[in-house]
Amino acid sequence: MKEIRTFTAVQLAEKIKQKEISVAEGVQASLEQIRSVETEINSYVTLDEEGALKQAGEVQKKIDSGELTGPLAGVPAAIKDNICMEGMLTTCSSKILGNFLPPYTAEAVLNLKKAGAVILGKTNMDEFAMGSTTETSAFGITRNPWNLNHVPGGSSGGSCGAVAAGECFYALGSDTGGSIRQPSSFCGVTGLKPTYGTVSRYGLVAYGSSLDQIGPVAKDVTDCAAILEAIASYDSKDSTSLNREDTEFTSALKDEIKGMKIGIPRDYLGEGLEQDVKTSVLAAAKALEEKGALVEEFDLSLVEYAIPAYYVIACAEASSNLARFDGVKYGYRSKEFEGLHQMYKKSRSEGFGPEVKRRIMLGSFVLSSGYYDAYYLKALRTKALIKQAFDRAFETYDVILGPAAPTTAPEIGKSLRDPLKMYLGDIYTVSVNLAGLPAMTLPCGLDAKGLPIGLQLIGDCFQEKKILQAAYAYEQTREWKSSPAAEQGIKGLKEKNMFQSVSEQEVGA
Amino acid sequence: MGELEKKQGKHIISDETIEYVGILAKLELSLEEKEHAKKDMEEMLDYIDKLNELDTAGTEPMSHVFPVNNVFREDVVTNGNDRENMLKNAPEVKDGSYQAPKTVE
Repeated sequence: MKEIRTFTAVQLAEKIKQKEISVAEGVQASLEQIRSVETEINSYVTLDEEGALKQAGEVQKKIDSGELTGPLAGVPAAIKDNICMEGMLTTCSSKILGNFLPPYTAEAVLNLKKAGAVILGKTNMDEFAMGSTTETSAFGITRNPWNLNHVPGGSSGGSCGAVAAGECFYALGSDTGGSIRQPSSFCGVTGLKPTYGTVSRYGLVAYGSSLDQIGPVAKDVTDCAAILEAIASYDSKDSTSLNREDTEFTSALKDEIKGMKIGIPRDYLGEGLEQDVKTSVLAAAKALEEKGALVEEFDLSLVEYAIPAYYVIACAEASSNLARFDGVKYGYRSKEFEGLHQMYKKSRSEGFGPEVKRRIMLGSFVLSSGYYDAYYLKALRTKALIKQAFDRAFETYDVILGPAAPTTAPEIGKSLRDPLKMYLGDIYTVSVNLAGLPAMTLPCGLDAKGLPIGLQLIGDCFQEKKILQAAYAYEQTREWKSSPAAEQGIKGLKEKNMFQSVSEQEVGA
Repeated sequence: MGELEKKQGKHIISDETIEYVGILAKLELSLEEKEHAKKDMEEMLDYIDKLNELDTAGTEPMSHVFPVNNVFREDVVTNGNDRENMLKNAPEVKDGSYQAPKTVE
């Protein structure tokens, strides 16, 4: 039989249902893999081995009694560390929340538990989801399971790394400006950011509230659809929650693409896009065309304005949201201070890392009197124009296709020195959050260095099914490739790395 | 606060501005951090100025993609008294309350 860890979530649940594999065996498969690769990968901030085995017993009983019958019942999952779980450390990978034990559980996690998930632990991320590499975590970097010298992307780098390395069967991430899609692309896994309001934000530590959405990170399109179906719900505790009735997302898993109109924004293929990425993405478009989709290029427009508008809006909201960290109610408090005001300032200055401070400063500035109109309102007006550009595109196309990121995963240590350059890597993802759209990324090839390339499919609001259908149809044209870490454990990683450094020496000579 | 200073079309963030933003952000920055913050902010604002190429005069600011309405419910307590649980995470607690440094003499 195949190694248990190589099954997708839905495949494992089926084996559990057929009594070929027990829930505990599934959990053990993940734990074994964690023991094998975690010292190198570092996907998890908190691992709850004991809790997972206890949950396994409980879930197994519910499956045996017929209480749990869904497509994810009994499958081990990991949760990004900005999503609260009662009594389990939730740090946002920040020193300021280093000891935070939430008194309640996020709605999305409750929904997963209702579907029979076994939660293994909490995954690493950029501090407060601010970053594109998972290098801003206060608890160490996460390494890419395809090549340890490269970042997994971010901010959901731990979730995507864990899925890619076989350290869990699926994970939840959050996406404010591409934080599910970009690391999914870099790690060769499948990630989906739902229409804004589809998944409750209750229990998600807020970064940019008008942009944040929780979504699935998984091995394939089928898993993504099943997970989204489980976590999507109307929740009166989130005032932006939508009451949708069209959330049977697995119904879209059909290998039919004839007549679907797919548009490729010419603006997504221009300067800055690596040749290997462009080639793979266009080959994916070709594959869909050959299956009967109508594919053409078009001008989306305004693409270059999405990043400046995004950073103004996200930082403004962050500066307001992160005002709650004051050293009084929870989290870190400075040891030495004089008076209340200095306690606030010192606790925050010692508790937050450089990237978080940078964004709070910029956000405070653009919201300050005298600059509010020129920066913040200007960005909100730009957001309206970007939304209109997408509205026009979706009058013609069912799905927009393009790359998830202009490059594959950068090397560790190369991104943080120049923040602005790092922000420019978000060019294909941030506009989706500004417009509230659903979008997913799935693997579409490897570059010359053997690093995964991600294909992004964007739909109009509420049209997750169209992107899932296009993604599913595309997925049928290629074989799933797992990372060296998932394939051969630590041995695969080490061999891969030796190969890498030798070939780099050759290039140098 | 007045017009931001510019030199050859590039933003110049003064010590005064960075001090003021530090107060708004409730952050205490070291001298080195302040210099970094100035440079970062200058670069970001130069970049953000790109938005001025767009004519947005007739466009309303869009805060949310979908209309956001107040969510009303009956004024009934549903979550019970969770005081002890909520206080568990507080750095300092006294007599069932959060403890903070004295604010008035």
